[in-house]
Amino acid sequence: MKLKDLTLSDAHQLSVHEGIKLIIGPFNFSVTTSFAEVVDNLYRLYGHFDIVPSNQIIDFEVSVRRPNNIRRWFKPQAFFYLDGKSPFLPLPAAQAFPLLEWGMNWCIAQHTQEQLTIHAAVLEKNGATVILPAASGSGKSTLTAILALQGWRLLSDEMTLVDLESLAITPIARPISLKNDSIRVIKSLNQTAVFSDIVKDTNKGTIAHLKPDNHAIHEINRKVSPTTIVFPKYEAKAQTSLTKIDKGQAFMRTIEQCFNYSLLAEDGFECMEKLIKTCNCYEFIYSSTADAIENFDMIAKQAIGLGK
Amino acid sequence: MRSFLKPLGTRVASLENNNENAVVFSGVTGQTHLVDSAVIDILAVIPNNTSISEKAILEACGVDDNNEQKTLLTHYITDIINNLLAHEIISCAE
Repeated sequence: MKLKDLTLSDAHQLSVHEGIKLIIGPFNFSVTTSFAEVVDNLYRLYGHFDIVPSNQIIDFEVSVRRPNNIRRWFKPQAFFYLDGKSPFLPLPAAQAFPLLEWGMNWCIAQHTQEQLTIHAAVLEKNGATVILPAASGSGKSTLTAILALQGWRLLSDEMTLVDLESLAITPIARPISLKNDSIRVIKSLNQTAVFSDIVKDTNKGTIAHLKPDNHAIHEINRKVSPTTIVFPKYEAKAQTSLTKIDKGQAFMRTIEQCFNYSLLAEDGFECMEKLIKTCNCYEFIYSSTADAIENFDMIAKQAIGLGK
Repeated sequence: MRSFLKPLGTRVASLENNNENAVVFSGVTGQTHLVDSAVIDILAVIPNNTSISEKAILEACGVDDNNEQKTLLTHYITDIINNLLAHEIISCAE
């Protein structure tokens, strides 16, 4: 049963006490909230995700709630809770849905220690799997959304989970977080793409989340093997360039984006060694959507041995 | 004369053939460093359980009295050893 099989009214009722229980890749989340807009956005973006059967364990009991003090009404706030504890400072109530998304990212990043967790998007096309490690502001999510709308399968926008032994990547195809002008760019590429409400004045600027396509959600349990690592960088008016980079440099740049590399110690090093040896590594600077699509199609062909 | 050993957990990896770089993981600090690929050969001769003298490392790396570039090579390898010590990739034996 999927979330969309419930009525929105049922989802609102569930969200108050019992929780909306969603299977998101390898994780089971239960979401309770006192914000109607959180349920509306959850229903819109996660409608095609399966609901957790009653006999399965919940990994993360999360909640987005109003405070019980004056800030419930005066400059209202939203708190994120995991298992009843709030790991962050509250945000303005208007940011309740982004707060839930960021909180879910935090849950996964903090509690996944059996796999190497990289702050990176990951997409797959015809057997070519591209990891995009990047710092915030590099244009990673915009590029990810562009490619996802061009037939690449989204495995994740935010976190790449790599098996320490096999290097298999576990999909967690959640909504893509877009900022500022990239929201307009992606909307112009596909008029039918489904977005969350737009939220202004966050720490990251204006935010909206793009729903992953149904193919990505349908394939969420199919793991893939990595073939390519690309470090993307959006630079306005820059000439597009795709440059192969030294693997030692790629190693160091990738560990900068890892959440748990240090915790994994030797296991992390050995996993990263295998990953870097397995993958072709590139730096990609772009300013144009068309160039990005063309270059990634070339990368996909090269990865599966069809390229020049 | 100094002697050295390699702490347990220290790892080194060469990521592609004919590359000037390698990466090394310190079993002491847990830090990873990008290093000259010559480090691979030097770490290969430093054992985990017993110490090895600096002279023996130099000899194992081909530095001997017959080598025309003895001084240059000695400085080069000594610099690498000092760098490895500074990053706690190897330790000085007591």
